[in-house]
Amino acid sequence: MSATSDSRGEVVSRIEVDRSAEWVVTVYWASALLWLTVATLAGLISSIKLHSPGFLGNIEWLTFGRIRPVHWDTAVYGFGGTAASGTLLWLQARLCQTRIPFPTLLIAGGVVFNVGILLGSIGVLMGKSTGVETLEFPLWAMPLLVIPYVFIVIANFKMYFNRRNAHTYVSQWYLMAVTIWFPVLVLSAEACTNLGAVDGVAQAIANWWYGHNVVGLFATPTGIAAAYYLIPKVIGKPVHSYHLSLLGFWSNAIFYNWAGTHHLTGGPLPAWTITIGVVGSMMMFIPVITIGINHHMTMVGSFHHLKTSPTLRFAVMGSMVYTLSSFQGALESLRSHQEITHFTHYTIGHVHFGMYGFFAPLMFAMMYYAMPRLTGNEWISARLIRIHFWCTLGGMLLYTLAMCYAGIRQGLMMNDPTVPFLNIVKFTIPYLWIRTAAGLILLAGTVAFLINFWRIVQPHRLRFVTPTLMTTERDYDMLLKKEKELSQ
Amino acid sequence: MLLKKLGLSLGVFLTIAASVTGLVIIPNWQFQGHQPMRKADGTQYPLPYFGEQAKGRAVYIDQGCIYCHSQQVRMKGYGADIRRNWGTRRSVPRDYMYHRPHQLGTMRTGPDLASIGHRQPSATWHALHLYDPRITSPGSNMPRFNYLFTEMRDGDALPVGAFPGDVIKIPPQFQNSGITQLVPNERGKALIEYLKALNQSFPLPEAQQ
Amino acid sequence: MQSDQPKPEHRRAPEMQDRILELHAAAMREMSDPRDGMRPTPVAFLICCLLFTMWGGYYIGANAGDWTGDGLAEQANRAPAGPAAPQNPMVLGAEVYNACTQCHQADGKGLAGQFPPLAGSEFVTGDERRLAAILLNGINGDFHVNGQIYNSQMPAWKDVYNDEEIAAVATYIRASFGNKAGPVAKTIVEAVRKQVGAAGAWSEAGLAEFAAGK
Ligand code: HEC
Ligand code: HEC
Repeated sequence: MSATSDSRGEVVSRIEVDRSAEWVVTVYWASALLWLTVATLAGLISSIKLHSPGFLGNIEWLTFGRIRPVHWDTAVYGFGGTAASGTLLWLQARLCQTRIPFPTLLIAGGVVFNVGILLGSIGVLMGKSTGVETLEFPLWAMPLLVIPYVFIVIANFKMYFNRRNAHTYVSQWYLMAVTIWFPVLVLSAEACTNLGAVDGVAQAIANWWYGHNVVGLFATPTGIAAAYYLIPKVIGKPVHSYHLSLLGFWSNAIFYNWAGTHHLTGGPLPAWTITIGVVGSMMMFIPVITIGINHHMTMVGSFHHLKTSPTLRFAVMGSMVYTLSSFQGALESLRSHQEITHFTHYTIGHVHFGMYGFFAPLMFAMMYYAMPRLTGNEWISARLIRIHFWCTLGGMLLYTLAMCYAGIRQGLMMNDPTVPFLNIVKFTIPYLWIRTAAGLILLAGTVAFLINFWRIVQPHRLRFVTPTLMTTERDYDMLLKKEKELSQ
Repeated sequence: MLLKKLGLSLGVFLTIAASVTGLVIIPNWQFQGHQPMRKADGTQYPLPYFGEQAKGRAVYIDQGCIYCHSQQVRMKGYGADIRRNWGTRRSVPRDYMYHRPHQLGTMRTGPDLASIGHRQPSATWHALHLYDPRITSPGSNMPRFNYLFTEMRDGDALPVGAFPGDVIKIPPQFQNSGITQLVPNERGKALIEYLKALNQSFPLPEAQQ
Repeated sequence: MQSDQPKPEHRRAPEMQDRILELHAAAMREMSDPRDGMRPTPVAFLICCLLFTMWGGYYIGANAGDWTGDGLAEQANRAPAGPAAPQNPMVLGAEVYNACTQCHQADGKGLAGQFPPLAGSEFVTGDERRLAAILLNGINGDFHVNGQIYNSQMPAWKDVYNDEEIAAVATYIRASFGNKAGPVAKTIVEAVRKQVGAAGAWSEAGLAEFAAGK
């Protein structure tokens, strides 16, 4: 194809980078998948408990109010944290064309990080939660999460300053930004909430400033960085416009971190703080449209690759849902919208749309792309990839649609004082069942991926010369025939 | 040169420094002047939680009630919080001046609890409801908190430390495997005390505007 | 930094070299790292962004309250002005009754042994002044309804509901759950509130005294 005009040097450096990353990144991504499974199971238990409160009902450890935060924390830190860290290390190393520094330390860090999440979750299950949403882990678990992340930050800076090219690519900006934002976020939020620097409503604002930004300034930029890398990489075209990248990056950086107060609309906050949250969220239309145009225009003319490339499929799904869920989120912040959907399942639907429709698929795309390069093996089964893809897409859509519809109806009923509250509860029950079904579908996809992942990390297991693509046998036969025709 | 090297990092850092200042530090500074108000009868509002109530609040946090219950009443005309009798007025920052950690909550699988003590002062009701929400609220999906209670059969001796007045009869149609009565244990009692103390009915002037 | 640069391959163990060579297949087949296209940003798009940002500035200015910590004013603007028009008491009463269902249940039958029924209760269908007094001030302590004893708490509703709403819920419970008593006028609630509104919760005896002394 047109773009394989690499110098031999680039190929060699790629291989060297991948060798230095092999263990580090595999450890992070394997943890990510394990935590994703744990988080999905915890989510399923929570979900079942909401329509059948008797399920595991007498076990205090598994009461809804404990398993539900474990679900979110293992999803955000367990899956999100490790998937994003692995992505960060590999992408930055690739783009800087340097080897990953101190891999042993980073692996040790990854192990400690996992222990931290495990202990934190057990703490919450034992009732030691701090009671601050998204920061539930007891304080003593936090150093186990923070210190390993410091290693990652240092590694990232080291690679960035040792990079081969003076020019930096847009993905690198996002990755750099993540490593600056996230530590500041965690430390100031912990200081304001669990360390008690502020009380009451100011603490609530700090809490949701954090709760929103952990998605907005950690998961989102990592996801965007992955999309910016993978889409042009797989189809072999340059990104549409550097200028749009620039505009998207800085408008995202400036606006997103003001959006958090929309989680408290209607609450006892000074009007101006909520107003700023609304504007911060609405302004997100600028970066989202910019990034959307940039990705879409890069893809134009290459959509046929979606049929075969698993990486591209997940990446494009992720970046399309990024646009959609960000539109949804921006509109959701408006006061007139919040009047109905705040406090309802709509918010839950939106969160899963973003996390499972945008962030997770992009992380999956990264893994599908990088794992064969890191391990030297190929994905064993195209069918499992297909199952993974369709379960992710289908489960995510079912989840989002059911929860958002139920949320709107729930909000409308809640705002009508003549409807008894228990009628609202009864109304939501069928949708909560649908959610459990959607959760099972997502779990099936995760398991398919786990099997594939387990197989690919087996040493010297399966060496295919060709990549595992998502073609069916028939497609493959046709391809072979065509090739034969051409060669004649 | 250095600026060029660090320009990106610096810019990115400034964006977040700006938002933490604007959204956390400045509002907190604005709330510094808050003082409790004194009622005509000498009592003051708000009061910090202490004793049983503070213990009960810890139970509320540890059981994660926040994932289904908010504690914030929206103003009249915005939603139906007040018409649903979830409060007599909107919540304002001063109501929360002693709350650490805050428990504002963002989900209403169950009703708002900011003023539950005002609309539901009955300890018996809370006990039955927490023991099994389906007793008082058929169709509810709130979990049981039966481990906050000592279950008693007819003729069982009172648990240590409980008074005869603490015993609550389970309505006959909900009695199971011989269990006819309940006594809230230490945590259960504290939680109920806390729920009864949740009350934002005091008319703070800034809530009236 | 020397150590970060690729090392010459021949320094590696032979089986490692094998692997690296094999890996060439995957590494060679991939496209080169992404580059930046240099399309200009459409000016119209930039203008739209600018206009949108201006809207943001306007929105902040228009909805910031007075920028103070207690400045909740902007939100209060939305509150409907003036008292609402009088409503059908059965509709309003049904709405208010949502506050009673936890104890007296949606079917008005109460919970055996804990919360008395409103269906077929003499207190509901009997004297209107006594009913208004119960609803305004609540009840505390032992209380007999239809021969059964209850010992719990009936909350006071005088701070929560105005006279119209209390009259409406009284009217509603007198005409629901099989009860067939006439409506309660707002003026009755008004009068009772004036008479006993300052008192605390009723005891059984106190309520009987009030009812007898009419
Ligand atoms: C799974 C979600 C869920 C959890 C967790 C939960 N609740 Fe509830 N709660 C509900 C629902 C639904 C209702 C409404 C139906 C009912 O009365 O049970 C409710 C109602 C209530 C009410 C009555 C409110 C009213 O206006 O009548 C109180 C009090 C209450 N819950 C307290 C608690 C406490 C205390 C906890 C924690 C120990 C808790 N809830 C945990 C869902 C939940
Ligand atoms: C906290 C639970 C609770 C709530 C909420 C409640 N009640 Fe009661 N109510 C009681 C109890 C308990 C008694 C009996 C008095 C006692 O045991 O001390 C009672 C007694 C009564 C009585 C007189 C006895 C009878 O059964 O006729 C009436 C009438 C009544 N309530 C009406 C209402 C109405 C109307 C509402 C809603 C506005 C309401 N109650 C809300 C608990 C409650």
